[in-house]
Amino acid sequence: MEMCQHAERLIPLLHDGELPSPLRREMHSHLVTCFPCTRALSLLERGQELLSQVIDEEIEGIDFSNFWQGVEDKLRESRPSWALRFRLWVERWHLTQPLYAPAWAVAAVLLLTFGVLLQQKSAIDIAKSPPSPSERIADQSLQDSLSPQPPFVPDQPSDRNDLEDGFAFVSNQAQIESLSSSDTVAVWNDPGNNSTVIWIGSDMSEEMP
Amino acid sequence: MNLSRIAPIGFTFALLWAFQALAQEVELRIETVLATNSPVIAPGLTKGFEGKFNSDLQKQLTSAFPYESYQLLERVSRKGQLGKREDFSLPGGRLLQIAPREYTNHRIALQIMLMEGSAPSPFMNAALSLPNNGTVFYGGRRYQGGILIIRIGATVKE
Repeated sequence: MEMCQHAERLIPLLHDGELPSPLRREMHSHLVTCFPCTRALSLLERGQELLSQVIDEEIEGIDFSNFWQGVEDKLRESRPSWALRFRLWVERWHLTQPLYAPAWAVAAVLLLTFGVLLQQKSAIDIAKSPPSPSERIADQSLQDSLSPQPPFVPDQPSDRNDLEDGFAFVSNQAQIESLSSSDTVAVWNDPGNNSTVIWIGSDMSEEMP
Repeated sequence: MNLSRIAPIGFTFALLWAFQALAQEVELRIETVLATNSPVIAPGLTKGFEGKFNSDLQKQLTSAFPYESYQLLERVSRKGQLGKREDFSLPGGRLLQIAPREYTNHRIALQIMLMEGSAPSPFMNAALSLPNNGTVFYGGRRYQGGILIIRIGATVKE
């Protein structure tokens, strides 16, 4: 078949809609007068139609009822292991947030040091010498002014022999922040053992010690 | 496995360890005593104690309460954590709920709730703080012809 120069290069582009507007207009003008180009374009269009027809017929023969279920099954089968996903996450994170190993090591050492210091802090505080009675009374008075609590009774030696155990002597009294009850309540500090008693009873005169 | 991979994993473990160090363990002790004024049978004694009493509990009861005999009904010790509530069953279908809230200046802050009734409802709600290893007494509820006295103790391991 005789073909002009346009047919060789531009007809497929025209068919695919790839030509810019000026060239497309020029091609349409050319097609009116050029029979080989018109025929070549017709053949291309016919070929496209036949191809679509064949594909459609093939697709009609396929059962798509379980298509998405199959996709989900495949996705589930191909789910990578936890270790692999963690490694991928670490690598991706490492790429976006590049931090050198020494930085991680320093952070870990700092955290460990912080943890050790936190655990030793209480022991260090207790190992300090106990405050003098005047200091303790002053401290107790400050606490009295900050929060409501039973009347202060000066510290007395406890039965637990705390000093022999290496602990600072502390009052056993409770500091009450809030107390509510549907019954009558009495609160007192027993000076004998320096502990707080909360008594709840409907008939206080009969039951209260 | 090279250092660049070991370091983040080590960091993670260190982080977990640091958080664990922050979560302090609290030991809660509940001793339930039935106090009555029934006569003491044992000769030579002015007060009667039935059950395995600690000497400090005996002395505290003798000092603080005027009853003639004491019966230790139950002694429970349980380990909990700050911020986590613990429930203790008491005689007479009562329920004691203790939530250690925080530990500062060697004092343990506790939220204590006493409940009773077939559909337990709170009849006492208290927020208080005890010195570490300290105790507080609750009393006044009737039970089997006597009065219940409950000693609550809390200890944080330092």
